[in-house]
Formats: sequence, C-alpha cells, structure tokens
Amino acid sequence: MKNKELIKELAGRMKWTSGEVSEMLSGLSSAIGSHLVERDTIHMEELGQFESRKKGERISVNPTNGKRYLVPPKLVPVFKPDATVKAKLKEIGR
Amino acid sequence: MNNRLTIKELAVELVKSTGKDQESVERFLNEFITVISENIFTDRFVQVKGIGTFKIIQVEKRESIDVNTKERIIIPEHYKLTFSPEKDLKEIVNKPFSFFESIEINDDSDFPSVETELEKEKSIDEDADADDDAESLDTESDIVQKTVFIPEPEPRPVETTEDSIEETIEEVMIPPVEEEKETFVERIEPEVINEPEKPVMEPVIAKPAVDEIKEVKPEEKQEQEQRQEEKVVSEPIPVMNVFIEETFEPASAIEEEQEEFFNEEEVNHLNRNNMNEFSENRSNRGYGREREPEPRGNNNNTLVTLLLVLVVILIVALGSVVYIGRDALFGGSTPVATTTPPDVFTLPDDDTEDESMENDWGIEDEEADVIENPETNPTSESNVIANVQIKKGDRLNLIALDYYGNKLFWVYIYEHNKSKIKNPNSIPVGLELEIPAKSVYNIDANDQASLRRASVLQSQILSKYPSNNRYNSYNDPYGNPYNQYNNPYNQYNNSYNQYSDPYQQYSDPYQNQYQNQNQNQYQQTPNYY
Repeated sequence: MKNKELIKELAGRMKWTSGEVSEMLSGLSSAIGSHLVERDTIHMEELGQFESRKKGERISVNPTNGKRYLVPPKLVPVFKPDATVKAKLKEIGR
Repeated sequence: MNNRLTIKELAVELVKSTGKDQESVERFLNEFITVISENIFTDRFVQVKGIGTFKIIQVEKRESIDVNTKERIIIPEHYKLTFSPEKDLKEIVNKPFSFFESIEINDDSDFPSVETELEKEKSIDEDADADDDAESLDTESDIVQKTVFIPEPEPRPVETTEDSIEETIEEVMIPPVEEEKETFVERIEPEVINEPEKPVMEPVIAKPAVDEIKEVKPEEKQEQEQRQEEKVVSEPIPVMNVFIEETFEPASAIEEEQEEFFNEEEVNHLNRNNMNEFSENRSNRGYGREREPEPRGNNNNTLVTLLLVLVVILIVALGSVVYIGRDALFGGSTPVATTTPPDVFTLPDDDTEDESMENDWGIEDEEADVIENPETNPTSESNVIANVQIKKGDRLNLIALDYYGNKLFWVYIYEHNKSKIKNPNSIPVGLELEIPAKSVYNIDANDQASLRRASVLQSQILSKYPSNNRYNSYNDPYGNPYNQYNNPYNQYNNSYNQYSDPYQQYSDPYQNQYQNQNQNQYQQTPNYY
C-alpha cells in the first residue's frame, strides 16, 4: 500500500479531505521523530512500538583501498511489532 | 526522556500541532493503526510518508543449533515484519549525532607523523629554532641555486622560478582577509596552503635586493602613478611594485614568524628590518591607491584584469628580482647587481628624489596609516553576512552547515574569528562570532576544490588544537590503535543524556536559516518543528 492509497483510505474512513489526512500524517511523523530523538518509545496498540536505538561507533574498512574509517555512533529509529502482529505473521506461514 | 508514550499522549500533541479536536485525532490514530495492520497483511507492505515503510518479508528456512540441547534443528520458513525508516525520520532522530563525520584512521606508522607535524608547527609558531632556520635556508638556497646555474639572465630565471613564484604568490594571497582575496583566491591551490616554511623563505629571497630597492625607491612612486594612467607595462617598473606587494603580504600576515626569524638572523639584520618596514609602507600606500577608485563590487572586471596583469608582471618581476638577488646572496662579484638598478629603473628625475628619500619615508608612513584605516574597516564589515551568538550546544561545523552548506567550512568561521576563539574545540557560550561572506574565502559547497581547501585547513587547525581525546590518546603507551579510537565519541556517549535540552535549540536555526539549496532535507518538511 502506497502512501497515496493510505491517505485515500484514511480520508474515506475519517470522512476528511486527503489534505487534512496528509497534514495529520506529517504532524504524526514529526511528533514521532521528536519523541524518538529524546529516546521515548511510542507504543501503538495492536501494531507495535517505535523506539530509537543507539548504534555504537565502529570501524569500517573500505574494501577497495583498505582505508579504515571510524564511523560515528548514531541513533536509528526502530519498530518492534506487537505480539498480536507477530501472531498474525505466524498464521501467514500456515 | 525514556517515556513510554501511548496513543492518547501522542494525540494530545497532535491536537496542539494540527488544531483538530482530541477525539478526532485519537480516532484518526486508531484508524491509522488498523489500516496499517490490515493492509500489511494484504499488500505485504505499507508505505507511510514521513515515517517509513512496513514490510512483511519471508525468511527462508535454515539450519541452526539449539542453544540448550546442542542439536541441529531446522528453523522453518517464516515471515517477519520489517520497518525501514524514511530518510527524513532517520535524520531527525540522529540529529544529536549529526555533527559527527567518519574519520579516517591512519595506520600505526602514521601516528608519529601526526605528532611531528604538531611539533613542527609549534616550533614555527612559538620560536624559530636553529633547525627551522637551517631548513628554510636550505630550501631557499635550493631554489636560488636552481636559478643560478642557468646562464641566460633575463628570460630564463622567470621560467625556472615560475613554480616557486606561483607558490609564493598563492600563499601570499591567502592570509589577509582583504579585497584581493576575492579575485585572487581562484588561483590558490590547496596543497600550497599547508606548507609552513614557504612564507619564511620568500622574504629571504627578496632580502638581498634590499639595497637596490632603497636606492631606487623614490622613482617607484611615480612609476606607480604613471603605470596607472598609461598602463605602459615596461618591465622594470613593475619589478618594484610587484616586489613590494609580495613582501608586504607575508610581512603582515606572518608577522610574528618573520620578526622572530629576523631576530634570529644576525647578519644583515638592519637591512632586513628596513626592508620589512619599507615594504610595508610602500605596499600599504600602493594598496590604498589601488583600492580607492573602485566602488565596491562594481568594476570587479577591471579590477580582475588589472590584477591579472599584475600577476603576470609579478611572475616576470620576481624572476628578475631573484636574479638580482642571486648575486648578493652568494656574495659573488656584483657586476649585475650594480648595473641592473640603473638599467631597470630608468625614469626621469633620479637626482633630486634620491636625496630626499629619507623625507619621503616619513610622509609615506603617515599616508599609509591614513589611507589604510578607512579602507579596511568597511571591507571587513561588508564581508560579514551575519553575527551568531554561541549558544549551549552550538558547534562551529553546525553553524557552517547552516550558512555554507557544508560542515567543513567551519574552518573559515574560525579563521575569521581567530582573535576571539582561543580554541576551536571549546568556545565559550555567549561569544558573538562574525560569519564571513562566502566570497571572502571562496566558499562553495559544490566545488570540490573549495572543499578540499577547507579540509586541508581543517587538518591544519586540528593539529594545532588537538581535540581533547583524540590526540591525548596518542600518548597511550600500550599502543592499541583501536583503543584510542574508542575515545573520540566517548564524551558524547556519556554526556548523551544532557542532549535533550540542547536539541531544542538546534531546531530553531534549522527552520529559519536553511536557505541553502544543497541541504534542503529539512526544508522539505517545514512542519517539523
């Protein structure tokens, strides 16, 4: 499902215009971002939770010239699916 | 900080940012979740703009070993939900660490070289010891020898010394934050900037010619005037102009070095000092005159051509200067040295001017002062595009990113505010910095050459001001190279928790000042903050 379809679907369900929906979505994404950057977790029931993880610094080697680089640490957003979603995933396999 | 937010809390914030009522926002979020969780199983993927893409992917069956029983087991194929965040979200989340860049790690063998570089710079900065003198003299004599062995006097030296002249010119143009920069900077090649000894060497070459210069000094004044009016570019005239300009710049820019250098040298001590003063006076005057007529920024073209002509002359001229200087340097019989000055400066009134030379000096001195003061002040002001007051959490490279579009260019902010910044690694909060205009340092985030220049300068500055952790660890006697590299970021790991406040400050500049086209990733999502 692409973003357009998602907006359309949500607009239909909410009886909003797609403009309102996309505005709300961008508000949502910035809210998620600003919380993740403070290392909050955002829990969405029946879907999962968003959190940010810190990846430590590491040394990587450029395979072509053999130079070693110290790659700085970073924060990355991660999503952990909820138990209900996991259960559904198992069902797909069967 | 480490809160666990639920939809309700999220909804409260969305109410603030979107203006919808609480109930509908909550309903929206619930719908959002159901739409995603429904469609993820039908479509296998859901893309949400600004957040990321959820995908269900199949994991092939594979063999594994049971941790407890140590038996080989087969993990059946299954499905898992993956989430790949969008670039925007990644960047927002990583903002506390966004100022980091990958650092190239040198091999073990490279560490000593870093240290020696450091030492070298120190020794040059603080005091020019005998070694350095010897070095610079060596290089100097090398160059002079190059020219000496060439039989043809006039044209050849120009060719052969062209390289060294080019270098010196380029160097000479770098230090001052003046008008000339704008036009000359194009010529600068980054490699040259770094060489610490070159500037020292340059005046040395020029030194021997001092005597001749003094003799003919008065004429040049007229020559300059004449040249400006007539633009008759006969060889001898520019020799003086050019020579002066060259010696002037290093004299002012690396004043300390030079002065020390001069003090160290006992032979010809007086002569040199005279020359130093002399060249400063002269060139101040010359610059003042040249700059006066041009209204800022308008006839840049004429200025450029004029300066280009000057540069060409300069190259020719320095060749001959070196040629002249050669004899004095090597103390050989000086038939050339004595004959050239009259030849070179054949202009009208030699007799009277020669005698009144001493008077001219005094007058020129004052003139120079008067002219320079009004000239330099406006230039420095017009070259400043903004003033930034340092807040907690600010970093030079982030400021540079704001204004120039690349972190590397922080070096120029530093260069510009050198007098205020004692150590670029720790700047006191509340300090007001001037952001120089891009043109002053030829800053262009799209230009590789410009970037390279900045990075060269950066390594130069950083070697002078080792960041607390990175270089201290070079002294680690145990020498595990990897241990050292755990250090640079440790301070941030530890103090990471403090970051929650400072970020709020980051958000402002991004929104307001992100005018740069190259870095519009934050512009695309203006609602973020």
